[in-house]
Amino acid sequence: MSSVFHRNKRKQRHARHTRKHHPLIVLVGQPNCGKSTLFNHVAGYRSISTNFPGTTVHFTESHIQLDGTTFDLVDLPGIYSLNSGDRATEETMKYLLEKRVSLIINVVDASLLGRSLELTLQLMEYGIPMLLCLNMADEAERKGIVIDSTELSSLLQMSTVSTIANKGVGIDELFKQVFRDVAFKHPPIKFKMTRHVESVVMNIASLASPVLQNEHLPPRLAAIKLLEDDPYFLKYLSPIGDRLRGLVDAHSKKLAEAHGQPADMVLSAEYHAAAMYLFEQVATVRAPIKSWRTRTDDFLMHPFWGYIFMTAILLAFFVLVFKLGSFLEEPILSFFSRNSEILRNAFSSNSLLYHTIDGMVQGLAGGLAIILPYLLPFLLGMALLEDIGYLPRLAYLVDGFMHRMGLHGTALIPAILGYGCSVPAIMATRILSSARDRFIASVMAILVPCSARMMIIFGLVGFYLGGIAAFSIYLLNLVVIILVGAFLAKSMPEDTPGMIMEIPSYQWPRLKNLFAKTWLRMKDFILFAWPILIVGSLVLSLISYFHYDQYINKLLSPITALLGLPANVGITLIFGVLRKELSLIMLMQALGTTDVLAILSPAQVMVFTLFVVFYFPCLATFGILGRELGWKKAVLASLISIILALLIGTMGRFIVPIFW
Amino acid sequence: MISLDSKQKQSIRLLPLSQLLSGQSGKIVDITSGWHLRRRLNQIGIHIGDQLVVKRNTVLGGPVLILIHHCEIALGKGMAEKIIIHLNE
Repeated sequence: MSSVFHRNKRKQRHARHTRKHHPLIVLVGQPNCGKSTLFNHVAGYRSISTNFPGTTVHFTESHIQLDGTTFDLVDLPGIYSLNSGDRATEETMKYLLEKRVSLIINVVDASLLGRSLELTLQLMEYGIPMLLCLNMADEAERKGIVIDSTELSSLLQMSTVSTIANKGVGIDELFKQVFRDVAFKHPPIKFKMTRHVESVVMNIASLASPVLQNEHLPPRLAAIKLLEDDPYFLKYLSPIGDRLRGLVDAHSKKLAEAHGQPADMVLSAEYHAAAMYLFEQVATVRAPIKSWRTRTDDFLMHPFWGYIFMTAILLAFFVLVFKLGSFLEEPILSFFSRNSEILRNAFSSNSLLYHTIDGMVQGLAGGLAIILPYLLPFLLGMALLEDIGYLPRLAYLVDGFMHRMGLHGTALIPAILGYGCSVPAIMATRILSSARDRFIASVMAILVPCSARMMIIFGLVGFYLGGIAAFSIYLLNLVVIILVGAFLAKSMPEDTPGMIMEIPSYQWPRLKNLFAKTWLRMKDFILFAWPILIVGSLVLSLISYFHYDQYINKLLSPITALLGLPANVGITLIFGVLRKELSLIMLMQALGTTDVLAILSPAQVMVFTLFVVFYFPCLATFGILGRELGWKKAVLASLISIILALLIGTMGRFIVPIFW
Repeated sequence: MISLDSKQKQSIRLLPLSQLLSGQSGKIVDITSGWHLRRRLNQIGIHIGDQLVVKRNTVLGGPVLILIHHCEIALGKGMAEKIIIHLNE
């Protein structure tokens, strides 16, 4: 396989400048159809592929060379249909309308062919040459579905190629066919709807075509979208959208009257019926092969045992990650402490140069001490659960409970990722479709103690007050997250009827895919959070060099006083904004001793930790919040966490002394 | 939409999906919800007229797991209440 493809190692961004000269080929398909696996196979690992529907929301580009010709390959997000409804669909529609796509590779999960053909038929309306890739041929076989691809090919008048992307089967043939089809430039046929609907669509298309003169838009597609009253599409076409809409109204009403259903439903039913008809023409269905895949669910999704297994799996997961983390952390920290000694000897410890270098090295070390020991095993473990296909089942199990809170089961996934690092957790909220759900899930995710905060909990409370105290912080944190989630859900009521989630078949995880995915998620941290960590660390070092800490302490004295903490720990709270785990080291520095209990009472240690765990997400998290949700919501989420931290810290001040 | 009195409903075995038991199967005859939900269901390939099998349904208020077009889909309870099924014999 790799013999045919020469990966171009140039940066992804580069693709944008050179695209004009190469044919642009895009992968479009339904969530979890193996698109990203296919992409990764030819492009090197750049796209996150999972066994969780809808994980690719941004798209990834790559240069591919085949027999001396270069083309750009783009992995578009997985979408169920081209009716707008979520961000992924809107981005895909926009991409297809605006970019000059030479060929669409429509990737289809062959085991779900009937359903998938609806998207195929919708894609054909865009008038872009297309090729059908029947992926997961092995899964179809397990389900007892045999597809006559020659027949399908002749019915759709389109090349079809069967592949098993995760085993690399058929990919060479696929891209050879892609090249032939790119050269052929044969636009897809338009499928005919039933007579009345077809005549209405064509009527509107002919009315719309003079108005659409300057748009690169097939009039028939415009007619269908107008009939569907697709809000995204109307916005996209404005101002002429409004003019067109006026033309459509009468037709739309007529169509609705004749069929006893709103026009968009009539159209949807047309696509559905056509897809089902095609499926029946080309597929024979036999009894599925019984396998461990179906039997496993008898346990893992069982109304009683399912929860027992869930608890066991998650507990084992967290214990393993923590054990591995603390084992790996030791040597890294000692390596850097040796280095900082060398630094101190090399430069005079009062010089600006020393503080600059030391600050940066500390930032580097801090990042490394989180990434290697905690984030890496955590993300690897998550990737494993994800690729096997356990996460959707987890969402299924907790949905009943989450629903009582006013959320979906799916909203739990970002929160679990949050135990690793808030940055990938917030990225993961993209699997949620509504803006309100994304916001609530993000707030919950930032309240979850990430691995940096775990270091504080264990390094401070665990070390000085014992394991039970540390555990109780986790427990309290969990209760607070549930309450906050429920409160937010109640105060932002939205008619979310609940989840619709595909439960994919179990898959054997592929090692290469696991590591690739872990690496891609780590990249979020390394490229986004780590630089902020280093800069933050530098700023802190300079603050201490110029002795600004006293001003900051004074500035924060109302907060420290409220929490009943000595004023000189104020500065460490600022450190927590820049780097959560630094609060611990800086606390000792601010107090001038590693024997924290000599100066702080156990209750004060507890209050300090509680405050640090809950308050303001670190700068890197704030940045990603702003990028993903917008700055207004980022500020709101941060405010919520600060208020919570103040509330819990102050309450802790009075309640904790009862226990410690 | 056809409106029926309760007696007729019983005789032709019409039930919301949420009330089906594990193992029962039937045909979707109506989706009694707003534009958004109907659209989301259509997107994932669930339409009026489709056959489905209930794989799991609990009394605890959790989602209903159905098998439709060779695909397992979990549907929230609230949603399942709005999908009307004609039970197979």
